[in-house]
Amino acid sequence: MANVKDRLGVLDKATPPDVWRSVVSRTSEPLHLAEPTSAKRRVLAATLALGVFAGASVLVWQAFRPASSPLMSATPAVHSSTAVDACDSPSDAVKVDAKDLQLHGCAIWQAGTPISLRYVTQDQGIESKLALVPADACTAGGACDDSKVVWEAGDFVAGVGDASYRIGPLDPGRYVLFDRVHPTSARLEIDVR
Amino acid sequence: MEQDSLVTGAPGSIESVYREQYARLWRALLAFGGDPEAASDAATEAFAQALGHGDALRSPADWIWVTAFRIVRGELKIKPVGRVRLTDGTYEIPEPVDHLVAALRRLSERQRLAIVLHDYADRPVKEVASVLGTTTATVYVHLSQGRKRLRSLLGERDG
Repeated sequence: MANVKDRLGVLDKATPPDVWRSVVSRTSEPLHLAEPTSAKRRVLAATLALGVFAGASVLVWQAFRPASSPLMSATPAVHSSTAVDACDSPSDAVKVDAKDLQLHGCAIWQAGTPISLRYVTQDQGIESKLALVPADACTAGGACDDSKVVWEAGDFVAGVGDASYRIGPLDPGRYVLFDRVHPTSARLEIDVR
Repeated sequence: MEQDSLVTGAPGSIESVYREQYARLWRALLAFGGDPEAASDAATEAFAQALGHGDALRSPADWIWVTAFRIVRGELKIKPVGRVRLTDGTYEIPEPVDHLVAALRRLSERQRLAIVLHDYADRPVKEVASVLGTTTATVYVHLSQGRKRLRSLLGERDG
């Protein structure tokens, strides 16, 4: 009979589920390896409830604050025919492309004015979802602090595809535009000035 | 490991490890535990923890393998012993895999882990020893005894 190594090769017939999205979403959750005790469970539940309350309060506040908010406008289909791919001066109509799980495009955005962002993903069958966060909220390796996100696309975009967004006025500074699903590879540093 | 040296310290290294090694890791976890859901959960948790560490991991691939196996061992300890869940409905596990996993389940936990990690996943003996909390010499004993037993079990099945 075949040796053990050969017999183990049968395992390659099993198809694993793609869990990358769960990996990314789990990164921002508290990690635990052991079952919490009931006391720990109560503390965890209370913390979670407080977190949900705080999150809901922020959402309500964001929803009713004046229009100068940098959060995403509810009208995603703002297509700008003047969007630029690459730029060496600040622009308020920009285009960003995703290819091979990397972001490319205009990385100098105008401060203090709404930004029209056209996003085109050429990665066939790959889903992505853009978000923007101040650069100091991200580590060099890719993890970004979720609580610091200033704008996020409303839905996933599947490749090949495109979407247009309107982002509220941003303060000057450095930001990171990244894909929620592939945050470590698909990211672009943005200079807002 | 060749793949490790390629990804260590590079931006996006965890995602690179995922693309290159996740499928093999998941299959190894399945072969060890016999539970596709536990395999998915342990792999997800290990990659999520690695992502949370950012650049702090010197060798992310090694770390992820060891962590995933420690997690799945912990999970299986709190589940009913000897329960194989290959007919979940959520996962499609081909019949030959089903038979192999059933045979592996008849080995001791240490023999099974040594064989899956070393003979299937090509992980170094030193790493297997680290997961088992034992010496490399002991791992070789588990490998030898486990292979002999597995050959016998698969031979019986073939016969």
